Amino acid sequence: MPAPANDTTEEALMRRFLPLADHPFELLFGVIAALGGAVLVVSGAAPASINATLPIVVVRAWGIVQAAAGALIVSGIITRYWRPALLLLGLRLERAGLWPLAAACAVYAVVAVVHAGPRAMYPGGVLMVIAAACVARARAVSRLEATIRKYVGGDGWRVSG
Amino acid sequence: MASEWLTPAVVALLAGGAGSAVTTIVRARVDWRKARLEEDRQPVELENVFIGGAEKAVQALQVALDRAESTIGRLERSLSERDEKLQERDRKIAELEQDLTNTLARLARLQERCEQLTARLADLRADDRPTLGDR
Repeated sequence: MPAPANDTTEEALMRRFLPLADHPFELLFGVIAALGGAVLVVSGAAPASINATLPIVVVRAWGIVQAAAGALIVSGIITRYWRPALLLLGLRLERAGLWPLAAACAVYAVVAVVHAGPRAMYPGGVLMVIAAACVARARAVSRLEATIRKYVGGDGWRVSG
Repeated sequence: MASEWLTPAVVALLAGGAGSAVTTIVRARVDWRKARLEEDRQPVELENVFIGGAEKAVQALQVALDRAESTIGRLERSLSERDEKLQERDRKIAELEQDLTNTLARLARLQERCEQLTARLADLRADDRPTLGDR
């Protein structure tokens, strides 16, 4: 979308990143996963249920997976709006991050319920729903990629048409 | 204790998620390399893609033009039918006007004839009066 001639650089930048609000859940869950995972890996401050039930190596792995998932999702969404020609790359990065985020959320849900019993049913349920939403979104993104490749003729990297 | 099965399950889940991510990224990387190679080696294929797209666009345009042409033909036919009806009506009006003109002309002739006869009658009456006076 070409910016009007009298736009300042800041306004053009804002207009370019404004459509990020189209994906608030994906973006914000990605940000929280990246930040939470990074903090966990750096400081080792894992939630009590995770610390109590899992070995430290697995806890670290959980943090790394979560941080990587968040970073992939955020970078995928930002890439699409920063460089519209790299639409397919952005979708693939987002999809690559959604699967590990689903796994990380499912892990937390299972661990919380196992550790705290019925008291953790609500947060466990919420986390499982987030995991299911991640899987559903990953499948939707996959179908979207296939449709774009079919009709626009993307070569798996850039949108060529 | 629950942690006996929990740790392997968690590891399997995390490995599954990470594996999916790595697979997706590796596949994207492979596609990217393939696309770069194809771009370098066969730019003609890319042109063919554009040409194919252009052909499809031209075909779609052709269909749209055919449809527009048939619509124009239908409209032209209905217009010509309407023109014929209008011409027929004009012709009837012209005939009626001609009849009216003929009737007016005939009426004028009759009126003139009538005036002539009236004048002649007046002349005859005028001619008759001196004759009576002479007697």
